[in-house]
Amino acid sequence: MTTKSGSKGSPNEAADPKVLNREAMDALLARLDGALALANAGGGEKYNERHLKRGKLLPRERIDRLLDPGSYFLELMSLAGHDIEGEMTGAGVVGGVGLVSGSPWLIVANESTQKAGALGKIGIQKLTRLSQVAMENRLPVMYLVESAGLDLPTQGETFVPTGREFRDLARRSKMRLPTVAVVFGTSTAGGAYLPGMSDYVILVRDKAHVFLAGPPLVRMATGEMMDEESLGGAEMHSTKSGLGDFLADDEEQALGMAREIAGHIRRVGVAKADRQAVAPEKNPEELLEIPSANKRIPFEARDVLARIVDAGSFFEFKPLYGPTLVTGWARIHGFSVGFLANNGVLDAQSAAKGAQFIALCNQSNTPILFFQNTTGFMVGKSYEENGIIRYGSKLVAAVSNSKVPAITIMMGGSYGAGNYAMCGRAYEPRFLFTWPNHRIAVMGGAQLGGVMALIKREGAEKEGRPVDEAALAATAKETELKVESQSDAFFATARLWDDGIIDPRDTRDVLGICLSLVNGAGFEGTMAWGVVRH
Amino acid sequence: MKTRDIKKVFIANRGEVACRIIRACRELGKASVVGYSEADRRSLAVAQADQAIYLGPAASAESYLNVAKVLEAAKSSGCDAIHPGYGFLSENAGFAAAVEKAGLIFIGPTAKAMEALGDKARARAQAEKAKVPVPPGFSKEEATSKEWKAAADQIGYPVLVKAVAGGGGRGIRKVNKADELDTAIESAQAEAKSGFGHGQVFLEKCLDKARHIEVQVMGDTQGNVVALGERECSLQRRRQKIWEESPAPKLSAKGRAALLNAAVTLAKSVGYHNAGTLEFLVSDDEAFFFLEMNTRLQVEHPVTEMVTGTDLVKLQIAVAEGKPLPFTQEEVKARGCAIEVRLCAEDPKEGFRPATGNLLLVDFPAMANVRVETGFRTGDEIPMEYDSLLAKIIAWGETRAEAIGKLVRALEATSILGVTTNRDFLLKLAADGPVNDGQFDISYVESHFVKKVKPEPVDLGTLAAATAIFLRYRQEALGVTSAGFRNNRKAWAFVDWQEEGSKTPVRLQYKSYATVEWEFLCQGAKGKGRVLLEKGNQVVWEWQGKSQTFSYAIAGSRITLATPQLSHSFSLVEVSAAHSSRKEKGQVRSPMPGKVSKVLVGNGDIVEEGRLLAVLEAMKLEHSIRAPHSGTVQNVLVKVGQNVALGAELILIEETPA
Repeated sequence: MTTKSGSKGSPNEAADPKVLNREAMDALLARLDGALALANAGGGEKYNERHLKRGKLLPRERIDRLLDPGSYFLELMSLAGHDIEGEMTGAGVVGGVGLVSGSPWLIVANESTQKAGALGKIGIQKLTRLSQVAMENRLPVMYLVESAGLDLPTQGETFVPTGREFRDLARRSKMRLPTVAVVFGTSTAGGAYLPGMSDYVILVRDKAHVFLAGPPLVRMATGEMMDEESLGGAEMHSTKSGLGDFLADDEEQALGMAREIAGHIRRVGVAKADRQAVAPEKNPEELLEIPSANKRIPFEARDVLARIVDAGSFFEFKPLYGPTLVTGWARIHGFSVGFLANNGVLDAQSAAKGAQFIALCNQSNTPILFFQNTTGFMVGKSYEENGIIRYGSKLVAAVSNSKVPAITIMMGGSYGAGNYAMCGRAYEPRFLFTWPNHRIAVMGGAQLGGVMALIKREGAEKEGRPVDEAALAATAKETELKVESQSDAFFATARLWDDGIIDPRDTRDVLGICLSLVNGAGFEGTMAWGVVRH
Repeated sequence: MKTRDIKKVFIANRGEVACRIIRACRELGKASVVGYSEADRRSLAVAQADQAIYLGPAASAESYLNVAKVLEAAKSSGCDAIHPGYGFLSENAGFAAAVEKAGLIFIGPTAKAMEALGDKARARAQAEKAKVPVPPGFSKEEATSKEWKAAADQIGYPVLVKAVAGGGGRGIRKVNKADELDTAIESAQAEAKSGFGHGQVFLEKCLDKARHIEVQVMGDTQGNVVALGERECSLQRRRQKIWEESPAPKLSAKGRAALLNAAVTLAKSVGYHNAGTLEFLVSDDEAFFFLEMNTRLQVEHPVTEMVTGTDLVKLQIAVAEGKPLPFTQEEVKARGCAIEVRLCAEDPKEGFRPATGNLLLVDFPAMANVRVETGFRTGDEIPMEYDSLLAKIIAWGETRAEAIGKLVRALEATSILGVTTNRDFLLKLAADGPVNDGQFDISYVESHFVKKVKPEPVDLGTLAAATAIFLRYRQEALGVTSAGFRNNRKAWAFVDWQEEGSKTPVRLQYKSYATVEWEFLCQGAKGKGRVLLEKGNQVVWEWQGKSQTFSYAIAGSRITLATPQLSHSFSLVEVSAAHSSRKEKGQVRSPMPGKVSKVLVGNGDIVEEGRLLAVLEAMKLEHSIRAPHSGTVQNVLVKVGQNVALGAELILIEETPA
C-alpha cells in the first residue's frame, strides 16, 4: 500500500510509477467523493432540515426504505449537472436500480429539497435516460414523486422535450413494465400526469396534492376558492376522483405498499449467473495504480482485466493478431461475457479482429464489455493506403448493429473515432461507466491546439500575411486548455455522457449488477449486419 | 419385606425430568414409557422413551394431571410402575393411592405419608408434633375474611399466603398490608385450584432475611431414612429457585448436623420412604424453621447426586422395588461443591416474564464434571402451557470457587437461540460479589441483585455483526454484489433493527475490495468489521481488529446472536403496508401468548392509566394487562378463556383528550 507522502519522502519511491499513479488516482477519487457528497446532500443542510421537520423522509431515505434490506443500489448519473451553471449536482433527481421485494426495479426519486424538486434541462435528460434504462433492461419503475414540476425559468429548453416522459410512461406500460407512483408531496400541472399515467398510484394522506391547477390558479381562472386538500388531496383522489389506488397514512406505509405491490406483480427475482462466481486472480485494490498518472504512458489492458474478471475465466481470442485490441471471453460474478479492451491505438488488424469478435458474440448470445482506452485510429500514409478507414468503418458498423447487450467502461482515453468504434455513448451501450482518470475529446488538447495553430499559420501564409508567432502560440495554448478542461471525466459525467463515474475498484461489482440486469431482461444476438466493407 | 421387580416404568411427566427418568431406567435395564400431551408430541422425551402414549390436549388438566388417563396409559402399555417426576401428580396422594389400587407401584412415598407431609398445613402440624420448629402461621380450611385478617395481624406483616398443595413458587402471594390480603388470598386460591386441583391456602410469617436450606432424605421400606446432605436454594426470583448448591456456603458443621437430624426425625415420624426434601428457613444465627416437605424428587436433585456420588432416581426405583438402601447414614460422604442453575425461557429484563417460541438453536457444552439436563433440542417449540425451565446446568468442583468457574465456562458455551433466556442473567449472577462470597438470603436476588443488573446498551460491534451475518444469510436473494453495495461511495446502505421496542438504524458501507469488509455507522459511532469464518451456526467476527465468536440463528426477519457473555435478538424493521403510525394509540396488545383468565373492564368504562384491564395466564403465571393511558374503553376484543397470540389486540381504549 502506498501513502500520500510516498513520493515526497524518498526519490526511489518517487520513481515508482505505481506510487505516482496511485497518488494521482487518490486525488481524483477525493474529488469524486467531494462531488458525490454534494449530490447526496440534496438541497443542502438548511432545506433538508426543513424537509425533515415536516415529518418527511429525504429522497435517499425513501429509496433506502423501499429497497430490500441489504440490496445494492446502482445509482445512475449521480453527478448530472455538477458544476454547470443553473444546475444542482444530481439535477434534482436520484435514479438507479435496486431490489424491491426480490426483483430489480428502476427507482426514481425527486430531490424535493433541491428547488422543490423542479427539473431543469439536465434533470429532464436524466429522466429520459433513466426511462431508456428501464425499457432496455425491462425494469418496472418506482417513481417517488415530490416535485414542483418544470424549473420555469428554463422552460424554453425543457417544456417540449419533457413531453417524452409521459409518452415513455405509456409505452413502458404497454411493454408490461408498470410504473408505481408514490406521491409524497405536490404534483401539479404536467406533474399531475405522472401519477395520472402510472399503473399504480399511492398517495400519502395530508401530504400528496395532485391537481392540474393549484388553488391560486383556480381562483384566477374561475373565481373558485379552494384549499389544497379539497382540491387535490390524497383522500379526495382516493375516495372521489379515483386517481389514487392506495391511500397511505404516512410515508413509511406508502413505501410499504409499494413494496407490497412489487412483491405481487414482479416475481422475476435476480438473474442467476452462468457459473459460480470466483474472486479475481489479482487484488482489485491494485486497479488504482494501473492507469498512468502521465497520460502519455499507456497501460496494459490485461492487468486491468485480471483484477476484474473471475479468476481462471479469462480466455483470449486471436491474441497474436491485432494486439492493440485485446478480445476474448471471461466471466464476471459468474456471468459469461465477451470483451474488447483497447491496448493502444486502433489499427486495421485490431479493428478487423474487433468486428469479427462482435459477430461471434452475437452468434453465441454473449453480452459484450468494452474497455475504452484509446487515442483513436492510427493515422498516416501507409495506414490510409492499407484501408484504415475501411477497417474502422467495419468495426463501427459491427458495434452499431450488434444486438447483444453492450456495457462500456471508460478506463482511460476516449478520443476520436475510437470513442465510436468502442461503443461510446452514442452507440447506446446498456450502461456506460467512467473511471475518474478518463479523458474524452475528438482529439487531445495539445493536438487540437497544434492543429488549430497549423491551420491558422497556413491561412496566413496563403494570404501572405506575416505570421504572429506569439498570437499563434497563445491560441494553441488556449485551445489546448479549453479542450483539456472539457475532456475531463467530471465535465463528461455532468453532461450525461455516461451513467456515472465509478471507483475503479467497484468496476467488477458494477458490471456484475449490470450483467445480472441484462441477463434478467433477456436478449438475442443478430446475424444481420447490413453491407459491410471488406 | 418382599421385593417386587419393576420391568417397565410409566413416566407421568414431561421435559427434562422425563428424560432424566428414561436415562435411569435405561441404565437399570428397565423399559420406559412416557405419556405426552398434544403440545409435547415432538418432544425429546417422546423421542427417547422406549414407548410413548398420547394422553390428551395440552392443558395439564386434560393430560398430565388427569389421573384416569395416566393410569389407563400406564396399564395399557403394560407398565408395572409409575414415576411421577416432580410437579403435576407427584404430590397428589389420591393419585398415589389410585396407582397402588390399580396394582402398579408408585415410585415415591405412600399416599399416607404424602397426606401427612405433602400438604403444607398438615406438615406444619406434623413438625410441631415432632418438635421441629415452624414459622409463625395460621391455617384453617374455611376461614372468613375477618379471621384471615386477625390471624395476619397477629403474625405481623409481611405475611405469605401459601397454597397447601403445590410448589414451585406457584400459589404463593406476599402481602405487605391488610387491605391487600383478600385479593392475595383469592388469587392464590385461584392459582392453586387451577394448578394443583384444590385451592386451600394458609398464612405464614414472611421471613425475608433468612436462607432457604433444604435437606434431601431417602428412605426405604425397611424404615431406614438417611439424609444426603443439604442444598442451599436462597437465590430465587418470583419465589422460584434459580441457583441451588450443596453444601450450603455459610452453614456451620453444627448447624448442618442439627438440620439433618431434624429432617431425618421428621421423615421418620411419618414412616417416610423414597425420596423427599425438607425445606427450612435458616436465620443468620442458624436458628431454623421447617417450611414444608416435598414428597418427591426435586428439580435440584442433581446437586446432591454430584456431591454424594449417588443416583437418586435409581435409588427411588430400588426402594420402590422394596430393596433396602445400599448405604447407611455414616456411609454417606459428600465431596466438593455442586451448583445448579436453572436456564429458563424468560426475560429477566421484563420481570422474568416467561418466553415462548421456537428454539432455533440449542447447544450445550460437553465438559467434565458438568451435567446438563434438558428436554429440548434445536427446532423444538416451548409450549406456553407448562413451566419455562429449558435446562439445568450443574457444575461440580473440589471447591465452591472451582464449581462457579466451571459453571461460568459452561454457561458461556451454552447457546440457546430463538427464545429469550436468563442465561446472561445467570452469568451475571455467577459473577456477583455477594454470590461468590456466599453472602445472600432469599430476598437477595429480587431486592438487591436485580437492581445491580443494568440493561447493557447494545454496542455497535454487536449490531454490526448482526447486520453482516443477516445480510450474508440473505446474500442469494440480494444478487451478485456484497450486501449494501453502493457505487455512490458516499452513500450508505441502511438497515433498521429493533431490539425490545427500541429502533436502531444502522448504516453500512461495503468497504474492502479484496475481502468483504463493511464500515458501520450507528448513532455517531463508527467501525469496521468482517466475517472471518463461518461454520454451522457460528461465525468468527472481526470488529476493529478484535475477533469474537458468535452463535446465531435466523428466523424470518429476526436474528438472534450470542457471544459467550451476551445474547441479543434483533428484528429487522421494514416498511409495511399494514403498519401505519396513525392507529397505534389505544390498542392494548397481548405481551405474550396466553389465555385470558380475567377481563375487568367493559365497553364504555372510563379507565385511568395503569388500571388493571385484564389478566393473562401463561406458563402457569398470571400477567396483568394495564391501561397504557387514561381513556374510555371502546371495545373489549377478547373473552375469558380465550387463547391469544403475542401482540394480539385485546382492548381498545380511546384516549381522553388532555
